[in-house]
Amino acid sequence: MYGLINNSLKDMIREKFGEEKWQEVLHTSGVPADSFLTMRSYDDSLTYSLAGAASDVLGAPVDACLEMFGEYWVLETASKSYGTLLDAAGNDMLEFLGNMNALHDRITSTFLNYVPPEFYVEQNDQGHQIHYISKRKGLTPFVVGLLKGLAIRFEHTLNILEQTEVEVEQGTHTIFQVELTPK
Amino acid sequence: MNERADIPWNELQRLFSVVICFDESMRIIYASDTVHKYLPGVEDNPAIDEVFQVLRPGKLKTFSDALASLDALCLMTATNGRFAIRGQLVATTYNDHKAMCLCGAPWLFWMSSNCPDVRLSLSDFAAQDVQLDQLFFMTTEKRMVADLENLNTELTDARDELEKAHDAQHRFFAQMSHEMRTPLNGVVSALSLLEANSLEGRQRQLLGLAQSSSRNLMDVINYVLDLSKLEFAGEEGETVFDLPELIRSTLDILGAKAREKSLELTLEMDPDIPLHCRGNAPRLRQTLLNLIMNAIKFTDKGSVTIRTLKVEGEAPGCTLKFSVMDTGIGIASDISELIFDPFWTLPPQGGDHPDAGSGLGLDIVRRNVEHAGGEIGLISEPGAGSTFWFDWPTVAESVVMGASPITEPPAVIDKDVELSGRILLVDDNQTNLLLGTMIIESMGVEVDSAENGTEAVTAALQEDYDLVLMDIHMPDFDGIEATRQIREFKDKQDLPVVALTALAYDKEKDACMASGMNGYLTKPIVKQALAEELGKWLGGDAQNSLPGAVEGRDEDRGKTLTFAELLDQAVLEELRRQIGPDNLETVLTKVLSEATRRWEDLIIADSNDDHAAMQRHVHSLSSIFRSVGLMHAGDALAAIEVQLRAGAKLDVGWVEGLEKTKTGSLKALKQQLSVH
Repeated sequence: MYGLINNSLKDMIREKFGEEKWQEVLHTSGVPADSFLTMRSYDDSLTYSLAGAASDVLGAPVDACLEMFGEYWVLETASKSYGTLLDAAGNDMLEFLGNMNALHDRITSTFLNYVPPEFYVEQNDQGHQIHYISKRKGLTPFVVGLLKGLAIRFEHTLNILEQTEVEVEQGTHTIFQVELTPK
Repeated sequence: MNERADIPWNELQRLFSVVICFDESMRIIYASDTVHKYLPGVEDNPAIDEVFQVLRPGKLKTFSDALASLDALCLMTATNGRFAIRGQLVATTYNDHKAMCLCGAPWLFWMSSNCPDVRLSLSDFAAQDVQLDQLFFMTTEKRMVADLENLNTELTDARDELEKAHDAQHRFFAQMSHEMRTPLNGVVSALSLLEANSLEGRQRQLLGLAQSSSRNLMDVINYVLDLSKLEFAGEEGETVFDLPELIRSTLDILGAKAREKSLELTLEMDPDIPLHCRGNAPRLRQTLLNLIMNAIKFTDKGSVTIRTLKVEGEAPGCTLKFSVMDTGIGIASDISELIFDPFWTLPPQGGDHPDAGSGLGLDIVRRNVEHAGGEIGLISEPGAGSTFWFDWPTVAESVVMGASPITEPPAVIDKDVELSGRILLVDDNQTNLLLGTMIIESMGVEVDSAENGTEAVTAALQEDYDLVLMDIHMPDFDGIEATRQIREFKDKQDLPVVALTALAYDKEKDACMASGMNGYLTKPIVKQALAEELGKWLGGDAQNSLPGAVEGRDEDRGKTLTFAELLDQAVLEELRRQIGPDNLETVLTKVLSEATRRWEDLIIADSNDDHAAMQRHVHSLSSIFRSVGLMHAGDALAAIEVQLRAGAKLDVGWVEGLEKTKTGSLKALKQQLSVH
């Protein structure tokens, strides 16, 4: 993953829990560097180690940590750094999710070797089904945080009714059955 | 393959979100959805210049202008300031009429800067349009620059912290070393005062152990202090110094030790080495001292030779190559790599080889050499002696690079005191005895020696001496007791006894005088003070010979010296050979002006009674005169320098006497200039 993600994780821990906790997380993770370059690609294992260490140090399940990070990513990192792009991607959450793949396509042309996830939305009787498809495993809680963050950004009420894991050969395919209403 | 295919308008709008078509009258006849979204009124077919300001191309007033700008980038901003277009013109037909089509997209950067509240959407940009990608890239790059700036700040802060901690650590070491040295000095001194002869067996062994351990500890503390000083030295400690003088004086310090072991200590100096160098003289002296001291220590017979060469460098820089060669025990090749490591000592050699020491001397040497920017090495073979060599880069600061540096030091130093008589020198230290004997004999006095109290009393009572110089602390009984015993048979008038001791306590001085001694001197022996003291009790005239050394030794006083006597032609010839006649003339001219200026400075310093400045000017003048062969004047000035250094009062009228010599010498030099 790009340093952008690791830096964001670092910023979140420092902002929410302080520098000492971050140092503790870093120490526990065994990650040697405490600074990451936004545009440099780092091995995924490094991000997983940091997330695991955050769970140990903060005494929270790793899923909760990832969810918190997903929300922070949307509301802080992406909004502050890429506000114009987020604005361009949609005026409401469904439009945004519909444009997410196009946005990721553009990022792929800039961040070489970037392996983005895919999102698509289907409407059904119960509301909407949001499909999350990734070549990576274990980041579904992060996506839950992203969805919650987006709901806050677009001032929607999000209710995740069901979360289904679809069996795939590699990576993840999660279907979120959601109820989404403007506030 | 090359057949023309018409692209329908709706397909064109897949490629370009902005499509504006205008006719030959420059009126807009078609606009795509995106244009309609951001530019109200466009449906009324306005003229281009009614709704847009064209920034590029430079001219777009007529249809012909448009036709001429087909390959140009087109940038237009809406006159309402809420929209901008980036695109390119293509010629086409619209309803069978000639038309021009502007294809492009919203101009993202202009709109982000000028109307950021207008929210563009992803669908306002065709997939192939790179403007959003660029925005993403630029935003990310901005973060990247911020990352690097943060990193740089963090590194700078960390470095500053580290340097502060480093400085604090060194200051602490230096402070602690100082603090430790003071009480340790007391321990070393106290141990040295313990009388080993009064102890037996194990006690004596333990005393020896305590003495060698305390000395080693002192070495370690001095080493730490040295390292701290070296670490913070920078350019500090750099001065212009007299190189031959530094080398000679270093050898002088160790001469007695070499003589004590019957070793030949020789110096081979390249005549081309600079007279004056800029650099850290104390470090160079320490380096030479440590290497020569080691050579003497590990050589039982034969010689220790110090060789100094000048290796050419880019003027005024040059490198001095020093070698210290001995005929000692040598060092095996497998340990020669380790020998410069701190705390490394030679394995026990057995027999009566000396204690290897603390193992810090060569580390200091290595650090000194590296600090000066040089290299150090060793060539050795067990049983065949060793050669330690090192390069010392320096900058020549000579007034003249010449032949004179190798001239012998002025004889005045050793011939300034003429005394007569016979004295008994008492000291339990062989080195002190040897040095003392040499100094006193140089004054024309006969010397006998005694190594302990018993020998001293016996000799003093049996022989007929004019004076006894009595050490205080000796193994059997001390100098105070020895004096008491002598005084039982010979009073102060019969045989004067003067104390000679390293410890200068008032209490001890009182005890000496109470035992019947006539005077009191402290070690190390200062010739001036010794001569004055001896002059009180012996025949001759030490007083006269000291302050008036120039005139006293000047056998030619009152006699007018010829130019040939004043100026050593051999030195001039050597200079001429080395630098050529033209350069010599330049040099001599410079010497004349420099000497005149320095002389004036000397006179001013004398009138201000500024002895430090006088010493400096006298030294410079002496050096200048000798460098061009004006030996008589150079020696006379050197003699004055000796007196100034010793703190002696100069004779009234010394200026007049010296001025005569100086004037004559400069005249001789001027004559040389007129000849050449």
